[in-house]
Amino acid sequence: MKKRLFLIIMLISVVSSVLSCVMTTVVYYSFYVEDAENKLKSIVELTKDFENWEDEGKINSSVNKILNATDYSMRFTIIRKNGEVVYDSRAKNESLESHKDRPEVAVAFEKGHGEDTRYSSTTKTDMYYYAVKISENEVLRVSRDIRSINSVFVGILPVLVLLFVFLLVIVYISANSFTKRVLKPVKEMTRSLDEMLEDGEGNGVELYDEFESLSLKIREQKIKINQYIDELKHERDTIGLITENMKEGFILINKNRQILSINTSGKHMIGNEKFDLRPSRNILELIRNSEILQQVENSIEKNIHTIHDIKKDSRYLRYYFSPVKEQYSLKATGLLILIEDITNQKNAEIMRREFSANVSHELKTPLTTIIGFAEMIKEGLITDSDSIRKYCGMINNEGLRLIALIEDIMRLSRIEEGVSPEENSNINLKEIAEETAALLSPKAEELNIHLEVNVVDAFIKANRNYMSELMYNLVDNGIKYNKSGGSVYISVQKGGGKIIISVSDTGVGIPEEYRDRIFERFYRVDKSRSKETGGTGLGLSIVKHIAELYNGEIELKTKEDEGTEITVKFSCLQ
Amino acid sequence: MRNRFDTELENLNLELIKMGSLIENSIESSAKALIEQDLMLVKKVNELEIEIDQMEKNIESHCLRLLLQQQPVASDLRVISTALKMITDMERIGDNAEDIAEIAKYMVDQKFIKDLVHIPQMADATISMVKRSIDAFVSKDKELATEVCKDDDIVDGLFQTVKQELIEKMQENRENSEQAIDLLMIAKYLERIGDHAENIAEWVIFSITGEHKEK
Repeated sequence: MKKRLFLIIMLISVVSSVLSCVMTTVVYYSFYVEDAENKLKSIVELTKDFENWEDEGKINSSVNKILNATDYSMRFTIIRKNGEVVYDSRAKNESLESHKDRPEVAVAFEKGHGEDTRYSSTTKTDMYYYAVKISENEVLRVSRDIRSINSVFVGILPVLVLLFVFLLVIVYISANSFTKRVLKPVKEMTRSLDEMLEDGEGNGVELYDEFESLSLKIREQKIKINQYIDELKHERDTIGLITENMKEGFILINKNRQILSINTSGKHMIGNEKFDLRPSRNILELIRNSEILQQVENSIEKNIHTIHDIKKDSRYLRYYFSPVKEQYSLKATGLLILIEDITNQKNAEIMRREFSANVSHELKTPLTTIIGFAEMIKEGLITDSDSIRKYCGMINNEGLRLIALIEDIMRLSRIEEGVSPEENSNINLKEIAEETAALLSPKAEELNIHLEVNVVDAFIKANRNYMSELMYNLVDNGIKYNKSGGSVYISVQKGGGKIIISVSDTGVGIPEEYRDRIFERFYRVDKSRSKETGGTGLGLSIVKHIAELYNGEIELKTKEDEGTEITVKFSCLQ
Repeated sequence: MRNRFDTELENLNLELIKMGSLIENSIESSAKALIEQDLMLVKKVNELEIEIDQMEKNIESHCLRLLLQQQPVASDLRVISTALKMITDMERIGDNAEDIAEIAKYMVDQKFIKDLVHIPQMADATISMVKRSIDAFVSKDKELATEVCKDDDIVDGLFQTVKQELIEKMQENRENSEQAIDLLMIAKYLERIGDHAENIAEWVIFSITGEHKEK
């Protein structure tokens, strides 16, 4: 703007000065020509009668007199009617060609005087000729050279250039300051636009009236834009909050496979926490797993929703690929990937599978034994009555084992169903502990295990059978998984508003990798399920369920080869 | 014009990542084929090798075309020359993975002379090196690349351990010799893969800083 303004001012001044120079030159030239001609004419008219043009000597002195009186050179020529040149002040004593048909000479013989301006080949300039008749037979012609307009102009040119330079300086300075002054409010308005928009007033800014409406418009727009920005921010924050707080991984890509959005869980699940989202980063830069990439391609190309499970380290991840479509468009314009951690579901599934396998195994083993022996007896393979008695004893034992197992399962499911308040009575855990110890002492003695009971009176409102069951299972485990010569400590204490039942042994302990699982049904550390120890694998499961029934907490402390301590804490308030 | 060149560079980058994921897949599969004695995986490695070779040719011609047509300078030139060097190392890794798979094919129905302990460890270490060198390339991560270069010593150390073990096995029983030599070759291939991964990491450092680490 400033530049253009400056240029326009500059152009106008230059053009006008050049034009005026040209005009001046033209006008001056015409004056000059007219003046030159008039001077010559008057000289000729004045001298033709007063001077003697008769003989050559006199002519010479006359001519010299006239030439001395003027400051420019003239040429005097006297021409006869037949064209013969009698006298010429420049080309003396030379024979000149006939001047008969020179226009000014011809006119002078006819009318008394004649004039003409033309280029002279003799002097090589423009010449003005004026001729008068001095006698019937002779004509006096005087001529002078007239500078051409070009040469006049060349003469003026230095002045013109000087003027032009001067003008340029003036114009530069004035145009500069002028544009500055004109544009100052605009500049200032731009500079203080922010402040102006903030407080709604152009503080200290001198505005043109013409700008008033403009600044008003800008203010309005600014307010509108701010509103839009706020709305968009709010929307973005909401979406950001949702995706950022999602447990699931969330990735959005466009059809060029460039990542548009990704949340922290997504980065974490893919295992690329350091990934920072810059514009146009390809999905390849995030994931290089060929399975996933194939699903991405598949889902976008075929425009279908797919689900894919991937095992990553010890975790199971489920990827949902949903093509993003614009309305009415058939092709996918992007892809939404959701990643869900399904490790728990997978593990639960594995556990269920193991559980049913365990149940069938536990039920099948005794039955197989029973059927085997029964078949042997039926086929008559065993005949002597002693053996028959022995095998029948074994069948009996297996049958009892089966019943015990089924009873355990039934008990467990009963416990799971819960207990009605009527069944609860105020019971003393001290009694129960002592009863249990008495019940199991023969077994302990048999295995050479020392039982130690250290109990105080502790009353709890609960089902007596369940509490006995809990105690029995804990102590029984302590004895079964013990070493010969070991001991089991039973303690019931009160403290911190809690009743603490603790059974510890000096037995084999539980290896670390199994600790999370020993409360599962049928779970046994000893996979061989040797019959040495007996048991169904349901003991601790029952303990856990009973404890949960009365809001108890179970703690397990164990060290391999050193022993196990299981603590159950019940609240005293019950 | 400029814009198109940038897109081309971006495409080149993506192709390199794709090739990187192929070699990762290939070496993982060949290690698994060896340890789990799985013939299907050997086949997969062979297929991947063909794809890797094709990819190398494509990227090479892509690079040369860019060099000829665009005459890149400064960092662009560095990126392209790095790409040219990197694909060579990547392709070598692919070849070595195939070599391992080839030996694994013969060992499918052999009983191992000893439990594989250090070779899987070596395989894990090299796979991790390859993975991280590609990661470093993807995220232009100089630190990660430097880390990869250092990890080569771990692989070299494991190679020495494996070698010592196999020598003992051979001295114990001469019948072990054949398998011991096969296993030694596998260990050597893994060690070579580690070296190539280190090279890739060095090229990544070069493409970032413009200085190539002198050995």
